[in-house]
Amino acid sequence: MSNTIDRRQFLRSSAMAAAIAAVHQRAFGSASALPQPKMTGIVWNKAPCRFCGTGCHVKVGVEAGKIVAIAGDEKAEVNKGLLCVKGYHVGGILYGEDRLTQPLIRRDGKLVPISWDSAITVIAERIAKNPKGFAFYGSGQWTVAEGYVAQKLMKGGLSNNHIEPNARLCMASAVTGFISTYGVDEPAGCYDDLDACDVVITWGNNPAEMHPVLFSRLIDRRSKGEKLQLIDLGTRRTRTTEHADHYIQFNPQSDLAIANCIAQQLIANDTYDKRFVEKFCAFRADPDPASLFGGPISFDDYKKSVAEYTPEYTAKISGVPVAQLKMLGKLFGTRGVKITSLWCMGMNQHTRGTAINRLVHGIHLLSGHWGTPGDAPTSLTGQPSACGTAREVGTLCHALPGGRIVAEKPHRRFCENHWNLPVGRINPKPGYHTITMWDKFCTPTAEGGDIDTLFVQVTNPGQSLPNLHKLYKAKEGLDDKFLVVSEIYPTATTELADLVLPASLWVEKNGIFGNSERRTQQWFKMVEPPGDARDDAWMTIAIARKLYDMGVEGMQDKSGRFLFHLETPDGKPYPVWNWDKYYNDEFNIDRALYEEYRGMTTWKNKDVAPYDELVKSRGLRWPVVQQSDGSWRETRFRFSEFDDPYVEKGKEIQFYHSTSKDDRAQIWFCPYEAPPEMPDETYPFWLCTGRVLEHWHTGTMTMRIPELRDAMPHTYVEMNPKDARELNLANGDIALLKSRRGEIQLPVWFGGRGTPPRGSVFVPFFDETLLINDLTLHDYCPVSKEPDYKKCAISIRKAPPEKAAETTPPPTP
Amino acid sequence: MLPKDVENYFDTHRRSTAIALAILLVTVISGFFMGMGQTRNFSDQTRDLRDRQSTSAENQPPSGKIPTAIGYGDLATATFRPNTNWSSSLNDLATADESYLPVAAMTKNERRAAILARESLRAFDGAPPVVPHPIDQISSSSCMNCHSATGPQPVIAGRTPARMSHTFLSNCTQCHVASSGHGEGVTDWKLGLGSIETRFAGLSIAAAGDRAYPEAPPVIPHTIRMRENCYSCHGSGRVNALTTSHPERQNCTQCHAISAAKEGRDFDLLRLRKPVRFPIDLNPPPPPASDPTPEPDTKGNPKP
Repeated sequence: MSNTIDRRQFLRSSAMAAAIAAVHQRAFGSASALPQPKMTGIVWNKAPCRFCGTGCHVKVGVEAGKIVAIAGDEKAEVNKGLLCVKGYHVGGILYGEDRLTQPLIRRDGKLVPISWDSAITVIAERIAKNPKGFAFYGSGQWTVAEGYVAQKLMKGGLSNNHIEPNARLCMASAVTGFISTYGVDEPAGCYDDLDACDVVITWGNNPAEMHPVLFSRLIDRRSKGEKLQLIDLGTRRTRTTEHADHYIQFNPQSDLAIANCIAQQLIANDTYDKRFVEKFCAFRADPDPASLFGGPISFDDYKKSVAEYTPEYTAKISGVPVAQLKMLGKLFGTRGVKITSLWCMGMNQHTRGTAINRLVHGIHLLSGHWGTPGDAPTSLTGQPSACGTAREVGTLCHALPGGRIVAEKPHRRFCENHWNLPVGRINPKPGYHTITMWDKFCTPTAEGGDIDTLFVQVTNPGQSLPNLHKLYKAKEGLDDKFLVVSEIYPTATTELADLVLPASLWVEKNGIFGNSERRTQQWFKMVEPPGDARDDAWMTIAIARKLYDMGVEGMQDKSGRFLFHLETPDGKPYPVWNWDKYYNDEFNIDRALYEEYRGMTTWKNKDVAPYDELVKSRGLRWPVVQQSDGSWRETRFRFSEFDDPYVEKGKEIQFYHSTSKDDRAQIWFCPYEAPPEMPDETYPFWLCTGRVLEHWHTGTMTMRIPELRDAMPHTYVEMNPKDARELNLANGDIALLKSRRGEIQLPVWFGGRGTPPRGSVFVPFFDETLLINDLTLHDYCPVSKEPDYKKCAISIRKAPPEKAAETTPPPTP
Repeated sequence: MLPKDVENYFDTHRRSTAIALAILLVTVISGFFMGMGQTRNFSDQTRDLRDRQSTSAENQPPSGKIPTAIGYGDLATATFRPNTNWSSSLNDLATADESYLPVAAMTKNERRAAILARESLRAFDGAPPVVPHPIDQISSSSCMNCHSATGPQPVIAGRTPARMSHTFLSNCTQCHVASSGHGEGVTDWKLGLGSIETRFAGLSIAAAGDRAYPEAPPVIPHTIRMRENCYSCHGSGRVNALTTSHPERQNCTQCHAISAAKEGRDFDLLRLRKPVRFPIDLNPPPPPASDPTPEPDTKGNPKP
């Protein structure tokens, strides 16, 4: 018996020793002097969740080299120990049985294995042959280092600005909204606003399903006895509506009229915040054509422009009753009440996306509901590092790291200097934005399609691009076009790929993400990637090295060294392109790349925290500034003197990156304009697309988690029951949806998750077997270039029975 | 008695037999018509049913006329009410009888069945369980009706709903999703990507809690975050659950300690600690040469 006890004690102490050793090694980057135990036990470590932009921290429990458990991290300020159902099951994303484990090349239409070295050579040779025809397409799921090396390879190495993240499809309008209002990107407020606000307004946003942890952070305040008013402004009833005090349903696109109507009332009723406006704001409007910074206008001009949007006039455009519009006007006109606005894709995926973003900032500024905890316009992001990588590292066709742009000479010079490159290396002309990039790739070379090689990392454009027939499927049969896809599972994108590279995922590598509230979050590699899967950052560096070996000039810096020249702490150059040495005990490459990038973040006061500080924390919100005692302090409320160290003493609020160079934020006027496509006789229904709680974006990861798949096994068309009855459609019947661009057959669901008003339907886009993006529109916002997935015209009818049978694919073996 | 005697008996009592038959005939005929009448007036609610009569006003049928039948498509938004004998109020259902009397300890097989039942609803120990029944996709209040922390608990099909431990959380479907797709009539399991096998092997909940010595109270072998109400799963009267043998003792953590290792609590403080030697570990006998390490089970857990 005593033997049993001792065994247990031994197990317990050895599990603890294992944990100590592992943590010690990770924290200090060197092999621990502690004895290495033979026995395994669960070792826990921290990581930001792999899914959305909320940036929850999870605790990852690893046993015998595999993830066995996930728990919410109580120490994380974002989620305080809570997760959503995706987060609790995030460990499963690594273990789908069809994980890609070796590089594959298409030969005679079939994907066949190829060695890593040959795969890298194939890509390098294509780039060397036509460097201008190469484009790099990544995402807001790139870690900071992955985005950074892609950015440096393209803009610093190849003088080629054709690099884009899928974030163009996601938050580009939020970016242009922030820049044109404050002169710098990203929210001034943070999630602390959710704990302090009295009223929260969701603008075309369904956080109950899409940002559930933040939504719970809000509504759980009610369980604690606090008062919180929730106003849901939307085009369909959702789970968020279920918790709302007021549901304000508007006609698609009329959000612009509603925002203008609030401004009209603030001025007409003389309830705008005169002191705030006089001290901190200027006025601005779009000349023709629309531009990012527009032109200044006077307050009188502004007053005249919004005067038209009376509640009565707005009611006609928006379908919102006058009483509800007046309620909103009165609310914003009330001092003392704290109002937080939240939005996500409803405002961003909009042909007037920049305009509606500007207007929502504008009504907060005009009414002075700005800059104190609880009073904030806050955009939510959908990807874990849309902010950290796409926006901050600037992996967009016009951007450079740290808020810089290629069009500005001083910005280019700074980057060339930082990267030790010859002057003039960076191309001043912005590259192709996402829609143009894919259009050029899918157009035959002879007809002007001048992108011939496209490298896709960490995203699934074959499913997520709009108007797929035109922007993706048209690639099929174009023999001189070459699509390289780094992926973890077979997807709609690997379907047409010519070369597939198996990627490591999440805690199979070191990484850093940046979430929606400017929080930079770090994690360590915890498990080995399967088979021959490798890091995306390594792939980019290996391609660069191959080009360097081939003598491509751009792969050398001014001193003739390799573009990704990294030195160990004792000054020796490190072979970062050598996979066998990529992970090692003495040199953390992720840390080295991040620290190189960190030097570029201070100009726009986006000072990210040192790597070693991130290791100790559950993320820190920039600007992170060192205090006199040597400690590092994060910033919660930007531009507000009480919290932002960059605001001068006595200024109260200072927009120190103001586009009018006078520390003022811009209040924009943007008129309501009709959308490019509206329902008509042939296509009488509005189609809105979006997400569901259980699946993340294109479902590549979540469709491989049984619990999530069983809850939401396939997509559907959500209809109003009255429309369904008129079309003789019952629940589960197959409907045929047609737009000018494509058609699809989907089962009907009403009385389920949400209810759209009559004449409109909603379809989630997560299902790779039922691609709703065959139907969507690729018209985009003229400023942000972000397409509108939320509004296009379709027709619906009951699918003929024989057609309905055809849509059912054979069950997957 | 001989048959002749019987004949004689009826001969002598002919009159009274006729009266008896006449009474029978009248009863049968009137009974037939009464039965017909009762069938016709079924909705008059005169029968004495087993279920308690619903008293709430909202359950009364609309007076005057029979409600018009509606199409299936309108069921979700229908405003009609069932007749009064239909018990649609949870408060009218029989409720669980929660006993606090000591009961016999569970057998090994009962324990095994209970653990398997629990595992079938969870990806790993600590994962939020999926919902094994259809759900209302939009409203959390329908969940709370049965799973509330307090109040009577209805018995439905012989089962008692789990009481929720985390009453401060009100967005149930954030973490608990249905295991049966969209719900009645919509899910077509032939659509979608189909089932791709997962190689994820989650932390098992099969391991029993460690005991410091043979009769010691076992340590709780799982995290108690979000499941602080032990009675929700371990209370008496639960079907397929690890129920306590001593429900009369209500302060569970008085004796059953929580395991920090299972919860990963304070894992980043571990590096500050020195390796611990347990005081009980004074004279460990050398392990037998043939079996240097304890044999792990299939999931790598030490054998209990």
